[in-house]
Amino acid sequence: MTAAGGAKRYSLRRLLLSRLLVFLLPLVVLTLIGAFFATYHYINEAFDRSLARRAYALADQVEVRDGRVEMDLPQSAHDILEFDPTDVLYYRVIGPNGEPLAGTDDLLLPAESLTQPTRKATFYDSEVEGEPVRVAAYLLSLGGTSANGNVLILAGETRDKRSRLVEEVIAAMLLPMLMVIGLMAYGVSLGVDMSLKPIQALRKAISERSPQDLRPIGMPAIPNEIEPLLTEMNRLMTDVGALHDSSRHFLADAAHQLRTPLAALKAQTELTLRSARDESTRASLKGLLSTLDRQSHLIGQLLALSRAESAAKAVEFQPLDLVQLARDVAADWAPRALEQGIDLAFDAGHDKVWVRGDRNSLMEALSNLLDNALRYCRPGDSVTVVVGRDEREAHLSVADTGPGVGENELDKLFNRFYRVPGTQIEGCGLGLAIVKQIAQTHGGDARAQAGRDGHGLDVSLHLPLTET
Amino acid sequence: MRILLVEDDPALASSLNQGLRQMGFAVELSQDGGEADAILSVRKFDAVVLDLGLPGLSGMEVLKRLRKRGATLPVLILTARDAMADKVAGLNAGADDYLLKPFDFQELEARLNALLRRTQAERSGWLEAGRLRLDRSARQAFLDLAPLPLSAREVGVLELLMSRLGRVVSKEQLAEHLSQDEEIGENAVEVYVHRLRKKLEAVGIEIRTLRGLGYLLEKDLP
Repeated sequence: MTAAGGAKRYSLRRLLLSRLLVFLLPLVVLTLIGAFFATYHYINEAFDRSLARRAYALADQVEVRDGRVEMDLPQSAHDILEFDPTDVLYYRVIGPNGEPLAGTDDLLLPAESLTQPTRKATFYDSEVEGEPVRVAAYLLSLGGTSANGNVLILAGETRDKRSRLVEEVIAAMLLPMLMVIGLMAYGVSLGVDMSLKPIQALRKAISERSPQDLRPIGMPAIPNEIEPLLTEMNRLMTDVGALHDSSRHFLADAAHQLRTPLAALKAQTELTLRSARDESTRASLKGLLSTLDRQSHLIGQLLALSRAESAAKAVEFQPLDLVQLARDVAADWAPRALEQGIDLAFDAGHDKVWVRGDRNSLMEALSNLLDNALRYCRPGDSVTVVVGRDEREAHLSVADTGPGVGENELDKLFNRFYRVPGTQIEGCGLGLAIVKQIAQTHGGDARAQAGRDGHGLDVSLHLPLTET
Repeated sequence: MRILLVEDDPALASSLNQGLRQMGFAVELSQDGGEADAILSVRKFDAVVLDLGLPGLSGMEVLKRLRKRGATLPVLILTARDAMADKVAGLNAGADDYLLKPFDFQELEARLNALLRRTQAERSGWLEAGRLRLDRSARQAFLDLAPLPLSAREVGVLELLMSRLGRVVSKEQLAEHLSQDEEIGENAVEVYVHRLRKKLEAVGIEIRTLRGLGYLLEKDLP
């Protein structure tokens, strides 16, 4: 989706969240890895110490008897040395001359041979039958003078217990860690939402505005970052309001400036006509009067059309009953219809038909339709105003039994300044253009068709329904 | 009949002044809203012909101040603004009628006379239309000088039709007008109108019916 103007859309909230999380997530992962290695290190160290103790225990069993190095290992000690519920234990003891004194030679020697006896055991990793094994090596000095008078003691064990403990510790740490991550993400998104609240409030304040209300928008509290935006928007609204006012004033002024001189001209012509006795003077004065009437009608229609256009967005629509409105307007026109000997009737299919609209514009539209119908009808014709609705829309139509227009003229009727060719009736061709403009302003449309039985003309306004 | 004419356009003011005098009115002319307001607050007139676009005080403001002082004299507005909104605003502010510029003198004369007649009728308690006369307080209608034999309800119907001469009166309005002591339905209204119509037809006066709209008594009754 793209925003108005085709600009690329993105969410400020998502942007803030992703920036924050991109920074925070690696931090959490690094912490986790650090914790894993620390755990691994300390667990290894603890198990190494117990492995070393076994090597020292073996060393205690080495004896020098009659100059020979011997190892006395009773079966029970042997059992204890090799018993463990989880791991497989190994040991190997090698005498000063490299002779095996006890244990299994499965246990490999350290990569770097030990030469100097040490007080403590050293450790290395090895393998027995493909299984990883941890080994403690201890070089026992027999106190002799011989350089080779040392006994090498190796104690080894498989790594099952260590691995299991590391896994358990990590597992125990993981859940709290995940909870911390979750809480952190929640906290961050909450913080982001709170910071974005003024934007939501501003959006609401703008969307609740009616198009006619162009006063500056006020906010109880506003962040420094948004304040310039609001200021600019308020400035724009003030400018638009001023523009709208000036165009409305222009229309009112134009009406006044154009009509008052016409009225003066007409009044003087009428006065002159009253006292004129000469027939030819009277005839030309009457011609002048009818020109003045045509002119004032044209001015009225031009003003009505520009009013319908300029009101398109500025009008505040209200729910109104189309039946009542049409009945009032039709009643206003009834005297003129009677004067012309035309039968004017009103027909509503429903008690009430609700639409949203501007009362004055809709009255003007119906007035134009009636004016048109009465202009073209002859004495004895009838004009019927019909209001009704179906599931989707409301309609308001004026049907007459007048001369009507040809099938291919119907669509052109709504064009500005269009006159049906050959028509003798006076008019400026703007009435139906005004009607169409008003219908479209209300989200509807205007259509023309031949009257019932193909006689006369039926012009209708179709408007969206509203529920009330 | 004394009339105050308030119009700032010199050419139109002068023709109107001349035309109204020819019609037999005594005319006083003012070309400024503030001045007109001042004149109206101290002098008595039978009617005001008031332009809306005036220098000084607007015509609408002059009208509002006049009504605020409690003056009931009829006011006919001359306006160059034909937007529905302007007409409605004028009538709401207390105007009795309006004419859109430019207008026919004949039309102005007819409207002005109708306004003056209505005001007089309201003061005297009599309604008149052609040969018909109705004494509102005595509830009695006359054709010329002869009393017409009408029932109370028929007089009620005639009263409303005569007070809105030349304008459509709906069944709903008639029902409301007749429902003073008891509720009268729209069907009953039809019956009363039918009876009244027959009695008036006998003396050559027609009540016009407009389908879906209501009834009307024409302005220029014989």
